[in-house]
Amino acid sequence: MTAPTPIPAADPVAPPGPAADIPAAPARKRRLAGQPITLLLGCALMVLLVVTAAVGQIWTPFDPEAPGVGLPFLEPGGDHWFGTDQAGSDVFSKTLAATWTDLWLTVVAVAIAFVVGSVLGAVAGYWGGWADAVIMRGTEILQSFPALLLALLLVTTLGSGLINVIVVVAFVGLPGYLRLLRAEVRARKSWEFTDAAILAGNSGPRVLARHLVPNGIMPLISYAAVNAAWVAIVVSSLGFVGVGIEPGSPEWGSMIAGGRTSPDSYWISLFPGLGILLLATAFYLIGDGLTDREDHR
Amino acid sequence: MTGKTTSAPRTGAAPAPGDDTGPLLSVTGLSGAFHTAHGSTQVLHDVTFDVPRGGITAVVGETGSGKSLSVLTVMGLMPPGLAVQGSVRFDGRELIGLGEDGYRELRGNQIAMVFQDARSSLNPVLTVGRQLAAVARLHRGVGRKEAEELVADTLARVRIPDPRRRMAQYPHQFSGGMAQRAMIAMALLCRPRLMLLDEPTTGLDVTTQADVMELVVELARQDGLTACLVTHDLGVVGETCDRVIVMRHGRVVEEAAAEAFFRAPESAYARTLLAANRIDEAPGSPT
Amino acid sequence: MADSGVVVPAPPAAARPRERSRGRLPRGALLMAARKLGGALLVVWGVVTFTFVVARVVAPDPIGLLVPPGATQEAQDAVRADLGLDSSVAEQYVIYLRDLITGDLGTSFGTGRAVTDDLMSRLPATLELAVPALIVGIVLGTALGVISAVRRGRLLDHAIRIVTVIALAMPQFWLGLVLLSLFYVQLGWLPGPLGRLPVGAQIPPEVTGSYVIDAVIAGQWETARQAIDQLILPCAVLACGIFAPITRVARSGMVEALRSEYVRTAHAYGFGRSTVYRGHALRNALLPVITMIAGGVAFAFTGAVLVEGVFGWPGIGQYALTAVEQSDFPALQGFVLYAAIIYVVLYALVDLAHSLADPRTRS
Repeated sequence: MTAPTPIPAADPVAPPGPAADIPAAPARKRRLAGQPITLLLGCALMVLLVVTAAVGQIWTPFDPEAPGVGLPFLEPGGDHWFGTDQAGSDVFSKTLAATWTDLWLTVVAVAIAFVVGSVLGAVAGYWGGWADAVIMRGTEILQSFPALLLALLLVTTLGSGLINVIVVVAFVGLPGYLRLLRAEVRARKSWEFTDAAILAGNSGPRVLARHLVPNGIMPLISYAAVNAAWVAIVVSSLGFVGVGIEPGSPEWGSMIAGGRTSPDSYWISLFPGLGILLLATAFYLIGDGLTDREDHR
Repeated sequence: MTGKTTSAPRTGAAPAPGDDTGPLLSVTGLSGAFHTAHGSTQVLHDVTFDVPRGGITAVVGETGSGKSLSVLTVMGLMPPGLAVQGSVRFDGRELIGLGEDGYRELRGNQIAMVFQDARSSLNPVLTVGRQLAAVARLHRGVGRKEAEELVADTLARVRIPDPRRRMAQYPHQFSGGMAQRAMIAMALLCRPRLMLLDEPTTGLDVTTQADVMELVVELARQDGLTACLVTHDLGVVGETCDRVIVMRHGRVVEEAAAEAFFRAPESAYARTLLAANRIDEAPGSPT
Repeated sequence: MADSGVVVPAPPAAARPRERSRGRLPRGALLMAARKLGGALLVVWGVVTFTFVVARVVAPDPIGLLVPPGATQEAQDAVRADLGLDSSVAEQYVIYLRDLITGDLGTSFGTGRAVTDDLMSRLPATLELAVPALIVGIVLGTALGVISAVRRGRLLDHAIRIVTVIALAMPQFWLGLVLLSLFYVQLGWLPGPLGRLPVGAQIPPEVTGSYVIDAVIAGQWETARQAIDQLILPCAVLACGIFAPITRVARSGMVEALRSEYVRTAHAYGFGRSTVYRGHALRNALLPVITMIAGGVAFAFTGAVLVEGVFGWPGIGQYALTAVEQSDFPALQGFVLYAAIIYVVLYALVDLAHSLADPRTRS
């Protein structure tokens, strides 16, 4: 897994054209093998992060969880590239190790929300009636909570820990997927190919699973990318408040919280925060890129 | 011709006396291409045709023949990214290379355009009356009150019943045919010298199509307008136009007087087109 | 199963002859309004019930948090009875709902005061932070979105899009800390995260609840300046979270409007660029922005939990954060109810705004 860097800085503007006061059409964001630049940038950033996460699993300059590998509050530089925190742990090693945690927490939570939300959305959209009414009221109620606070409340109630964080974040993010797929399924339910499939002897659930859902899944994928950015931020917010995964295991949010008590040592908070920023930016760019690509079809 | 008279335009302006008797609009060697990072696509090839003063000239062709593009280029409304070369002369004046201000002075005052799909050509959040009144105020230099009067009169002229009530409505409350009449009224309000109609009847049902075309012909004759009609419907052309220009793949393949064209089209393409259209029209065609 | 019962079509209002329908609500609209109100109440009830279930059924017994360690059984029972936690869950729920209807949100475990009073006393702080942040966020967001669309594909557009994505991807609590470390610790230009006024500052006599305005009214210029200094950073962080989504929606709305056929018509009739943009494109472009603005308001009033937390801002968000940390369920439920009402009211306003701004939704 090497990181290709398909982002030449060159910006091919206005290829030579005949004399006219209208500038020649820029191929809007469809440079480089016809993909939107946002998508390429996002993917490049994501590859970079995945590689970083993998490296962090195999090698870090110091044991990320060990205190006292250096003096506390060392400034960045020397052996400790990102400095050391109040316990004398190496911030670089911790940040590196935390990449993996935050990345896979986000991906797993998004995957769960995606699957469960899709199933519920498909059910609500296809069968309608009371199931739809109940599910939709439920999502409305869920969406009337301030999302971050709902996550905080649930994690506090259920208790901290990896599984709980994943389940809660997936649960809070669920309504978006549900609504999207419901709308897609409802829109396609009345199409002719649905009738044709039914007439050809397919059962309702089969048509739903084989035709309606696969055809309506594309918008969900770009939504998932945008939602993943949000999930990454919420996961770290939980860590920041101190109700995240097990205390002590390297995670960006809790690392930032660690730096809060020593405001003179900006580096303790700065680098893990940059990690979140990069991860969320990558997801946003991918989401935007996918949407752009859809718009061009 | 920015007349300030506010009398009902029924009596109409006389045909522009014009110092020269050449064509009102003359397109010569017009080429256009889209340039992208992946290469260029030429969509207009050396297009040349004239629109003589008075009467109705039709530009016909299939979808993608470049007919709409040519007409939009006259107005300086080509899609972003289309680079054009050649010459477009309106009343002897060169339009290609005209800046934003030059075109603005031309649009409405000299040339007015009626678009395909009138309902989406009107702003959905403004009442029809307000949109028409804005045009009247801009091009007739009248005040708010007078503009309203003018709009009501003009709407009546395009045979919209109950114009006052209609003016307070929004485009989505108009039927396609009604909206197209409103757009024609918008063009008439400007009292232009040239009226461009880009597929004005596409998407309307057959009876409405006939009504709208009849109206266009009648009004053009009354006001002594020169009109240029872009269409893919030869049936419409046969009934209304004086002159026919046939386009295909961005080229002009034939230019002739309507009579001559329908009697004996010169190009093979025109003959196929005519044949196809006759066949299409055969079942439901009146007269 | 068909969609029966999900959508009750209003009687065809358009079929009935109506006089000029300017601003008059037909019966169908009243019916719609009644249905919406019913739906809203259902949502509020659902939110409250969900929170109740989470707090009183799923959560562990809070009693351990409420009594001093090593308290006797009697002492525990006394506290339990005092807080109404000794009856069955069903009874507690009924009592809770009954109190709610009379406007009694119970007593906070943490502060020992009525939750309603707590919320009311913290509302001014939240408002003082939210209002300027919203003004900055909405104005900046709309302006950047529109500029970005008008300059589509140009350098400025790209720059705005990049800034927007970064602002969206920025964890707010971290941005707060970074700004503090820069402007307070390193540069010393702005005060630390100590809430609305520095320690020892004179609190102005309350008139509006905003320290800045009250200080100006009282002529305490120094206090007003201090209050503004305290506001700058949290306000900037909050505005950063508000403008970005608005920019994106404003941009795509404006891009779509500029591509539309009615804008082409306006150009074709000789209207100038600024008239076309302002008179024709903008209004259509801003329709979707209304919803986003509502989202921003909801965020500023209820979601800014961590921003308030980071800056020690004694507002409602910080109250909720403390309530979560201390398992202070009455306080939490009070906050959740407050948030749900804000959401419901906001979305009713969005509907109203849409029907005023978009004639197509009216018929």
